Amino acid sequence: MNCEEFEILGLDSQRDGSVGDDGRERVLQHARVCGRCAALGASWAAAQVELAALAESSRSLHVHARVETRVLQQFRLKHQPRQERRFLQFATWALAAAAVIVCTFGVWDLHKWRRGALGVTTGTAPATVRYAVSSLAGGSANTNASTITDDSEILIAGNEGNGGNDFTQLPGSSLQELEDGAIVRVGMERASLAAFGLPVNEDEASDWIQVDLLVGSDGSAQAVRLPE
Amino acid sequence: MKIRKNDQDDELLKRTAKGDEDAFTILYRRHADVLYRFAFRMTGSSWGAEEIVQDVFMTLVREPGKYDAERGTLPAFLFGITRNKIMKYHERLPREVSLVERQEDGSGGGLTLRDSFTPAMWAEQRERLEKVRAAVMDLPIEFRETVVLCELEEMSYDQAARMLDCPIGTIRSRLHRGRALLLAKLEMLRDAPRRWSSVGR
Repeated sequence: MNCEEFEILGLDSQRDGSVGDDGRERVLQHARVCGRCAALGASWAAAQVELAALAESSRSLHVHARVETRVLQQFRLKHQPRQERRFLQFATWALAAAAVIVCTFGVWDLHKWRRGALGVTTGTAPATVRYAVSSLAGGSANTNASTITDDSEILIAGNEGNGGNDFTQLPGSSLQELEDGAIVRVGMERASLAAFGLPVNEDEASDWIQVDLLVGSDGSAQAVRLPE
Repeated sequence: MKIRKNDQDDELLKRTAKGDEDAFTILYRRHADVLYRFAFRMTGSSWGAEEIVQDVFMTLVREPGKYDAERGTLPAFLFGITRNKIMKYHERLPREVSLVERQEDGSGGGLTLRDSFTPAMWAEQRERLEKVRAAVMDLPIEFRETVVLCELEEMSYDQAARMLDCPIGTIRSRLHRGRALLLAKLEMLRDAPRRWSSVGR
């Protein structure tokens, strides 16, 4: 055996099945007589120790569980029954359609609510107003509000000069009623304005304020105005 | 039909092709770790190795018919796919900058701190291992895979030849060149004189 053969066969003669016992013996013989190859063998033995340490350090490595999860997901996706896939597709579309419908109604409702916030929502007048209005309906058109309640005052007719255009029409009222109505100034808690659908500042909700009500011939409030 | 743990790969693959998830899971668990270690030792990246293993099994899921039992065993087939994926990984590697050089647990090479080690010894050994790993990673890929299979995976020449689908002579020759290069690098690390006559030929 020469040095080149030793490099090819000698370093791993134990593992290389094709070398055979005879070959191994020749390898050992060459190493005994050739100092350079013996040193090479020793150097490779040291390298093998380092490689073994490297192998040992990564022997316990395992593929992370997330890979198995991902692979199994793909597997399920591929082998999901066609019917099930169709059902899922249908369900997805149905859900999307339902979402569109809900959104549409939501927008419509929001629009309705905004209109209500501007004074067109339905609502009942506060007790003091109704009281004033019913009193007005029962009594003379010229009666002064002070005879009805302490805090209310009836101003008969005459939109003119009182900024009639500032009135906010209440829901359910008719234009005809507005034309024939009378203005009643009443005192009420600011919170009661909410019943007319008007926005109320909660910090001042308990304040008492003066409000002009336009009362129809049947005695019900048709429009409201906040005098300055 | 019940699945036994020791069912043959071919049988499990047939069931896998029919959508049997249990069979696929057994196949996966049987081979994933070996492929992962091989991919990790070839790429030096745990993320890269995970991606490769995932791709290998996805190929098996998508195209189970690609495996032909007449041509070799399933592990050899999976190794073949893994090798291709590793090649592709290395092809696109220069375009990618890895932000993760270490494993998720923060360690560099899975070396565990043992009680008998002082921190200095541990650091020294870890540094040494990193250098050996770097030396292996520096080998040209065809030599590296032979060194990884024969020296790190401790496969016989015959097994390695079956895995790489090549004659034993090719394994021996690649191993010879690979060892020569590796030894030259390791001797350089040790400041030892160069002894291999065929290095650089």
